[in-house]
Amino acid sequence: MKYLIETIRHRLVGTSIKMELKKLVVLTKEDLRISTKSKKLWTFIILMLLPSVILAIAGVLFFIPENQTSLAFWKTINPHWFVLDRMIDDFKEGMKGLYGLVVGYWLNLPIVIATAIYTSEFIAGERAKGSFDLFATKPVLRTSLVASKIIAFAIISLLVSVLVYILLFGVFAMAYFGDISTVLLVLWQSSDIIETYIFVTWLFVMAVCSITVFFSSLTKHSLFATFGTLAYLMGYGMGVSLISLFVPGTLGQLLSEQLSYVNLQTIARILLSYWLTGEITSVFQLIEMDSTVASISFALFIALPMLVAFMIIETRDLL
Amino acid sequence: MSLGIKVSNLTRYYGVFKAVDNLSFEVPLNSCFGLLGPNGAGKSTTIKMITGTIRPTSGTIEIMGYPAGSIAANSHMGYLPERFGFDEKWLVIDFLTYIGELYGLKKSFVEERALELLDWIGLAGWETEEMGALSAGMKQRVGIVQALISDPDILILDEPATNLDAVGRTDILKKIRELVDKKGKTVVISSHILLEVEKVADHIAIINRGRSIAYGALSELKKKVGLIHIEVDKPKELLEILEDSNLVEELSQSNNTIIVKAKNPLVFERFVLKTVLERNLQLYYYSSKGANLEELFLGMISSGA
Repeated sequence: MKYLIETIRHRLVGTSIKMELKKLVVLTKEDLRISTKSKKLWTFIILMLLPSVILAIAGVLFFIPENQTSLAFWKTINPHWFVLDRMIDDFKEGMKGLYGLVVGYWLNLPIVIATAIYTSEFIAGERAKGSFDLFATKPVLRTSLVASKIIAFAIISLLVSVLVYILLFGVFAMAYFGDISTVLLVLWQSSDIIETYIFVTWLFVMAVCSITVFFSSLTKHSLFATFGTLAYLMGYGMGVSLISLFVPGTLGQLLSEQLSYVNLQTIARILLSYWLTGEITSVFQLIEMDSTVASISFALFIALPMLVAFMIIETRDLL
Repeated sequence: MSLGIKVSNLTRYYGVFKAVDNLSFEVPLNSCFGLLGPNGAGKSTTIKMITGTIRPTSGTIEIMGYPAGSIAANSHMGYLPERFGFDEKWLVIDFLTYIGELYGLKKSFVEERALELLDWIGLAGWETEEMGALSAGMKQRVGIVQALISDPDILILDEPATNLDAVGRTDILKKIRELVDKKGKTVVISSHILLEVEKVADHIAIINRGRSIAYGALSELKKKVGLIHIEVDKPKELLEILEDSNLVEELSQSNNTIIVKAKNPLVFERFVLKTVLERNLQLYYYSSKGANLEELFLGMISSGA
């Protein structure tokens, strides 16, 4: 601990928070520009957008033309606006059913893998190339070098998440309501649900990013960092579910419940369900979890691995 | 004499292996310092400690008065690693701009400076190429440009002439010397190739197995060996005269060549020429080049110092 503090104090000679923040902004801009050339980032973006795009194509080809008359039909029966309000309520309820798809895809393996593969580059990949060790000899904190990449990725993944759900909601709204102006109104009115989906997906991606950055700070091999993240996220979840099999009764229940507080996927599912419906229901596990504790746990998942990674990378020898 | 770099009692272990052992040296400002040694002598470890990528087990390094590895020290320093990495898809100008921005410089300013430096190093017109498209020698030149991008006072070059052909090597070494003579830079150059360092360095430290075995001004070190080779038509006659002359420290003969270690090479040279004229000897060969660093270096390493 003394060594850590000594090293960091030593490194900070000649800089100030203001200067570092200024550099961080400049580096983030550069990283945003450079990252658009990364194939791994594009794989992530494509995987994120894929279901929405497929649904959009299917929608345009099949179910939008079929359903287009529904609003017009209801309007002929009752020209008053309350029909539309009822339909919007129905639509919102229906869209909460997307929970299953979101949990099964965006809060699951495809996105975990895509995120881990890209973000493992931040330290390990850069170190393998030799660029990190060069940049580390420049007057900038190693933390800033990594943090700028994380911020750039946060911005990109937020934009992509927004696009994913706008597209998804747009397609279904188009199929249900039929005309563009109504669809925009509907999207506006269901923004609370859309926001929840976007927010949870984005936070989940950032938590995976944070865990990968932690593994990435330990090694020069980005594959190791990717597998570390996968092994941790998948293995831990499976391990916890096995506990209730082997440990019978309430003790098993208690154990798996407590241990689930450090299971990222469970936390994300529970929070998504809670923020959508106000209740905690998990289709996968029968776990009762306090939503405040889950929120804190989620926040720690994002912040802690990243901070530890910063400490490690700032103080370790770059051999 | 103001110092650019001051290394005191530097030691570094890798596990139980002592890579650098109580190394001390000083690099005066506006000079070129050569760090010499065979492969595995601890040169790279020393350079890495100076640039702050690894920390010493014990000992201190000061760069322009700041501790090595600190932001302040790094802002005074440009560094070319032995092998440096980058994204192959980066354009040369983008790579250089990024490096400049790490120093907190403005983008437009860095771009202008990058173009100037590329022109100076002979890569004008290559700024919009991808880094991956460059040859090894060109990459090395871009490496030197990135080290110079912030106009640092101190330049650390780890094996700068590797990857270059003979012409390129001479050119780069000339450019490095130019930086010292015309721009007032302080340069530290590490190499295992002696001829390289001999051409540019004012001061050198020779290290072997992590320890310094010779350190000082190059000219001083050369004098230490100072072997002079002479060939004349009557070696025996000259040998006798030289033995009585009180100007030599050591004297030997192999075949027809007389090998001398002179107390003062300049005085000795005049004496030999005078003798040759007076005695009407024929001088075939006179060389004080025997004092090249290679011999000094090999001698010191093989003597296991």
